[in-house]
Amino acid sequence: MLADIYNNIKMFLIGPFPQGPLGGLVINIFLAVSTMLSGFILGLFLALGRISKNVIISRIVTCVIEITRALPLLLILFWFYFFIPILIGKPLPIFLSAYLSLTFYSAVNQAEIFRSGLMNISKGQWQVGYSTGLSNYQRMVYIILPQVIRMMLTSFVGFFISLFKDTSVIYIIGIIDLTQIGIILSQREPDKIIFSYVLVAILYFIICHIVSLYSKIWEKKLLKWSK
Amino acid sequence: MKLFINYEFDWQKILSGQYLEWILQGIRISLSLMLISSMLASVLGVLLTFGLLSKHRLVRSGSSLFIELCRNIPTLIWLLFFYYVFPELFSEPVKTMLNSSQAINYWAAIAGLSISSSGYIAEIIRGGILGVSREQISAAHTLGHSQWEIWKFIILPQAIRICYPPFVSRLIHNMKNSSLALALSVHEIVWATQQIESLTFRGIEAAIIATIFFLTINYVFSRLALLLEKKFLINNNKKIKKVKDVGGYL
Repeated sequence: MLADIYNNIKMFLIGPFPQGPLGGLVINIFLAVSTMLSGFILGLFLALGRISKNVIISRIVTCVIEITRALPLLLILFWFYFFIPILIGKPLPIFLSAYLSLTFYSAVNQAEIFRSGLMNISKGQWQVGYSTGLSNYQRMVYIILPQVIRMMLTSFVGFFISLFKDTSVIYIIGIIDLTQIGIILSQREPDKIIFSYVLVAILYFIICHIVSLYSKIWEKKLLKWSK
Repeated sequence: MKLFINYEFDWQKILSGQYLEWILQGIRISLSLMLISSMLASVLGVLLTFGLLSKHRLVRSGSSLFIELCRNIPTLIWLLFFYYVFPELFSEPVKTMLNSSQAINYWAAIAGLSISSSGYIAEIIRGGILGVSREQISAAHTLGHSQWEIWKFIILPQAIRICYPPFVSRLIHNMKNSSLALALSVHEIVWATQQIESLTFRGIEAAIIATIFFLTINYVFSRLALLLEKKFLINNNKKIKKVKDVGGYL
C-alpha cells in the first residue's frame, strides 16, 4: 500500500512531467488560482457594470450574468470549445479554452459576490466619499472595495474551494489533470482501481480541507480586527 | 485574424431522425436525474442533520466526517467512484451483476449527485436550526412546552425561513451538476450535445438547445420557489431597494 503510494504519488502530483507534459494536481491548482485571480478582476468590472447607472450596460451585464449562472460549467466549457473556433476561424488550444471558460465562470460568480458586498455597504460610506471630494475611482479603491473584500472574504474562499473542485471537469475536454491521471492509472492496472480513485479523492480532500481550515483561522482574525 | 466567419445554421439536420431522438431522450433523462437526485439529497441531508444534532458523540462525529467528505470531494469524483469503485467492493456474483446491468451508470450518477449535495443541505439545515435564538427555546421550556411543541411551533417555523433560500440555490446547483453524468455516458442532454457535435459538427445548434433547456429549468424552478416562499413564508424586499440606492451613486 505505502509502496504503491510512493511509486505513484509523483504521477498524481505533477503528471508525466520531465518526460511528458505537465499534469496532475499541479494543473488543477494552477487553473484554480489563476482563473480565480483573473475572474476576480473581470468579476469586479461585471459587478460594477451590473449596478451602473447606464441602463443599457446594466441590462446587458445582468443578462449575461443571469444566463451564465443558469448553465452548468460543462456547457460553458462546450460553448467556448465550439464557438470560439468559429469566431476566430481556427481551433483554440484545449488548455486555453479551459482557461477562458473557467475565467468566465469564476468572473460571473465573483461578480455576484461583489454585488452582494456592494449592496450591503451603507449609503453613508458612498456619501462620505462623495462629499470629501474623492473621484469615483478613488472612492471605489480606498473606501468601498476594502470593506467589500473584508466583508465577503468567506464567500470568496468558499467560491475558491468550489472552483478548485470544479476544475476536475476539464478532463472531459482532454486535459491531463488529477482526475484524468486517476482514470488512466485505473485503466492501465485494473487491480489498482480502488487505490487510484481513493488517492484522487484524498488529494482533493486534503487541498480543500486545508483551504477551509485556513479560512476559518483568518475569519477569527478578521473578527478580532473589526472589534 | 478574421472575425465572424459565416456560420450557416442547419436546424433541419439535428431536428430529425436519430438526433432529435437523442435530444428528447436527453431532456427526459436530465429531468429525471435532477428530480430524483434532488429528492434523495434532501432526504439524506435531513437524516445527516439529525445525526449532527444527535446526543451520541459517535453519531455526531460520524455525520460531521461524512459531511466533510461530501463537501470537499468534487461531485465528478463521487460519480466516478460510484461507477467504477462501488462494484469492486462486492464479491464476485454481485460484482458481475452490477457491471452487466444496463442502468448502472444512471444509478451511479444519481447516487453521486445526491451524496455530494446532501452534505451541503445538511449544513444549511443545521445553520437554520442553530440560527433560532437560544433564549426563545429556554423561554418555551420555562412556559412548560414539551420538546415536540418546541420543535413544531418555535424552531421549525423559523429555521425553515432561514434555510429556504440557500436550500433552493443548492438544489439549482444540483440540477446544473446533473450534466456531469456525461462522464459516465449517461445519455442526458449535454451528452447528446457532445455526440451530435462529434457526428455532424453541428455543435452550436445542439448547444443552443441544451442552453435553452437549462435556462428554462432554472427559470421555472426559481419562479416556483419564489411563489412557494411568497405563499408560505414571509418575504422582505429590503435588498432590492438597496441595489437601486447604490446604483444612484455610481
